[in-house]
Amino acid sequence: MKLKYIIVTAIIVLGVLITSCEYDNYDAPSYVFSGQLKCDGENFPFDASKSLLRVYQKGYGKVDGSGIGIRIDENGRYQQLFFNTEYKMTLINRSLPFELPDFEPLGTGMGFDSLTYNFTSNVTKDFEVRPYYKLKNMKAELKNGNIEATFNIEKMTNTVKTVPPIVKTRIWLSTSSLVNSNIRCTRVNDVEYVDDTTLKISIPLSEYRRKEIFPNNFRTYAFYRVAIELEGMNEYFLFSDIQKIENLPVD
Amino acid sequence: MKRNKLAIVLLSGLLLLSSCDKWLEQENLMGMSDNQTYSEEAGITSVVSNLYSRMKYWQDFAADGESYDFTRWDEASNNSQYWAFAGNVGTGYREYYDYGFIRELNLHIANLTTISTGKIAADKLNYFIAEARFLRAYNYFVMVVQYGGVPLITEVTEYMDDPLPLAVPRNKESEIYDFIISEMNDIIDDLSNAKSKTRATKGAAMALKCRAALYAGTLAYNHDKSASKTLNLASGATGIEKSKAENYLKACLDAFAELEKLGYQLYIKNTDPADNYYEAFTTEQENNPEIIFCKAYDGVNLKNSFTARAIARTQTKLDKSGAQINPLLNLVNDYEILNTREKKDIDAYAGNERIESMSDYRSSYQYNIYDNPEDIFAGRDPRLAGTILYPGSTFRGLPIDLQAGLAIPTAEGYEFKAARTIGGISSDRYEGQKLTGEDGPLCDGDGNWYISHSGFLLKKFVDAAAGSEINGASKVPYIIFRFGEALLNASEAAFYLNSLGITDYNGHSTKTMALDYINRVRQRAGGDIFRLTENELTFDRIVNERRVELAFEDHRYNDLKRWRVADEWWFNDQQNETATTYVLWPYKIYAPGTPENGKWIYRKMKALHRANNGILSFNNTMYYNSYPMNEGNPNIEKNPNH
Repeated sequence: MKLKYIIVTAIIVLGVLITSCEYDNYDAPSYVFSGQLKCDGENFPFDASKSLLRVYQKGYGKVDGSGIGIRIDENGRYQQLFFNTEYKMTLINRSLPFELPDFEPLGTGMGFDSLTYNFTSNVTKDFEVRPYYKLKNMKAELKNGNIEATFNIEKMTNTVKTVPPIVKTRIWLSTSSLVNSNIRCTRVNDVEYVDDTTLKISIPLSEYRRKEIFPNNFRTYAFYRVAIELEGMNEYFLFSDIQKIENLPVD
Repeated sequence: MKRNKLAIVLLSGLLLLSSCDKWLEQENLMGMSDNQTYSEEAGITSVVSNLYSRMKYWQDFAADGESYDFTRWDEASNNSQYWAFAGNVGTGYREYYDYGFIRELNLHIANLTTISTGKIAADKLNYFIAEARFLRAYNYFVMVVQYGGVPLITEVTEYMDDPLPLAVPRNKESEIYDFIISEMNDIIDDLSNAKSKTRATKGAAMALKCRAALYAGTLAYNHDKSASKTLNLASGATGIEKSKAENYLKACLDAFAELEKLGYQLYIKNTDPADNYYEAFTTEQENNPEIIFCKAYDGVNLKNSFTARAIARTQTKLDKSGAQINPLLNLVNDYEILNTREKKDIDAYAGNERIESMSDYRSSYQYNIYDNPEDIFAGRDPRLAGTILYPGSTFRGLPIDLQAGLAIPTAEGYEFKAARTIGGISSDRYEGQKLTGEDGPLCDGDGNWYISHSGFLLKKFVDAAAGSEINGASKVPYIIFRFGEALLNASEAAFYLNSLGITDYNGHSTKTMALDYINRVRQRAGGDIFRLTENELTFDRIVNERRVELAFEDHRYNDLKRWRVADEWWFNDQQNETATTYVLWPYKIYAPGTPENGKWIYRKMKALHRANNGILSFNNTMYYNSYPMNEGNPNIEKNPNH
């Protein structure tokens, strides 16, 4: 009798363990698509809160909307998993302050051409970015209760479209090193030239201490980042890298 | 044996030769067939009442049941416990692509023209057909405003094995507007002269033509601006050529002339202009010469719960109701000074205007001090008092208790004391003095709902009849077309014609017409002194007039879209003044023994109970919704910038 029970229980347990549910019949995505946005060999600093690379997969009924986004971090790095199937990769249909030679524009307001990827192994692909301006040598100091940042700009000459003028500068302060355009501690000013290639922007330290933005913020440091806004492009800006300013007074 | 064989042959012959297809058929006793329905008036009317109930009015009191859409933009913010649902939207806003409904309208028209002919009196039948065409044209209007050109289907399509012939491309945006205008022109003679406000009439058709023609004319007028924002598609599915502007704008004026002939007028029955303006919206449609077409509520079968949502906290006995709609300072600032007709922000600060923070309880700013709370709003366009309840107002004969807190003078300026929670309103006191009023405003926080957050409450559409907030008993109608809007439409159309150099319309000067029509609205609002001079009439005046006259009537979003300014004024940017939502909080000075004691100061602050950090969002992908793409129809193209 006992043996019977053991055998029956064993069969049931084995049955549960060995069979797999018919509904779970897709493998998890396993191919890594990774890479880096590069500008002249250096990493291209990016606004991590915005999307740039969009990926579409046909055949599942979803051809409206804007597909799947590839998340790009503050340093222009992306790394994402994909299935073993065909994807079309393109850029988001917005006015961008840089050009990617891999994606051809289709006309004003019409978006960009797409690349086809069929993942059968891991793929590493860097995309070259040609911004209209490069931001360099950013530094900031505390002056009269304001954090004043200065940086150099270099107008680029290797773009297809003519370089639009700079209309505004922006600055963000954050308590963490992940600084992007969603941070609420920000200022935007009309562009202010110190000389032909140096721009300046400042933000009052009191903005950083405001209770609605960062509650109980008694930190003596802040991470900051600047960006320039080009004419006619009010959503995507050209960013500097992220730096830290220390020894901030707490009153 | 022979007989049996004969019997078999005869029987089989009987079976094979007779037809018994009808034997298995049964009459459907649960419903009515097309023939039965369309052979009598009662059947047709029952179908029509269902069609009316499916009409799409975005801010209808019942359809917008929590007033999320009502509080979506820069007129008011939402303070129900679900206030976050009234936050910013994207390309999926106001999705409405109901070709199922279009098919049923087409089917209804087809049945009327085939089955009912001969069984219903000719003039009645013509009215039913015209009414259905009005409903169908209105539905195409709702779709073209959201999507641009859509496929124009006016015939019933039958099932076919290969549906590819049905995969039609989008019609041009101008073709849809042309269809609406031509349909209204065609049906006007068949519509009744009866003054029914709830069914299609000549007035309703002309009011729709007036609005649609103005919208099309504006798009044509702004063609170049649309091009600079890459909103025009080469196929014409979006965007209208500038050359078409003249005809559309003249069609708008034609429609307005018809409305005048039909005898619609502005509601002017109360000598007090603020009360008159308020009553123009709460008076039932039978006694209201300004209402052209509305959805009627009887408070019994069709309940109107808007009053329950909007009424002040002190005047509702219901839990979790009231004060859900908080008008913003942005709107209050736009009511002009009555005697000078100038636009001036509410004057709270002596010196530079400041934007303060709700979590700052100390201030060193200089404020203007007012003897009474309502003095800061004095001398303004009477429509302010007719639309919005501010500190010092009364409603239903009772005072509204709006007080943010006490302002106690200190050496540097003021210290503010306020209740932090709703419970604290009745219990928190300072030296025996009440801190925060029973109607608010309160700061953001869990549970601080159903009370004013902006320092204002809504008056327009809120029923003054006692008890009308209980069980939806309000009879205030939802107005879809009214004569005041038609006047402003005609004024704007004439203004555009004049700007295009077309100075004559049927022997009248377009410039004078524009001025005359807008002044009729302004005169009703504020009297003779409020009329504009010829030099004062600019585009900004028209914008502002629509802002204050048509406040909360679901025009602001469509207006900013067709003027192609929405992506500038409402662009989501921390520093965009026009996209930021502001509140104005009243404080009572507590300084016993000094002359300021008991007087009032105001603080301007950013709204907090307004989703997405209090900043609106609109970019150039939102002028046209995401078009519902379908892999089965390869001929449909996406909307621009998508």
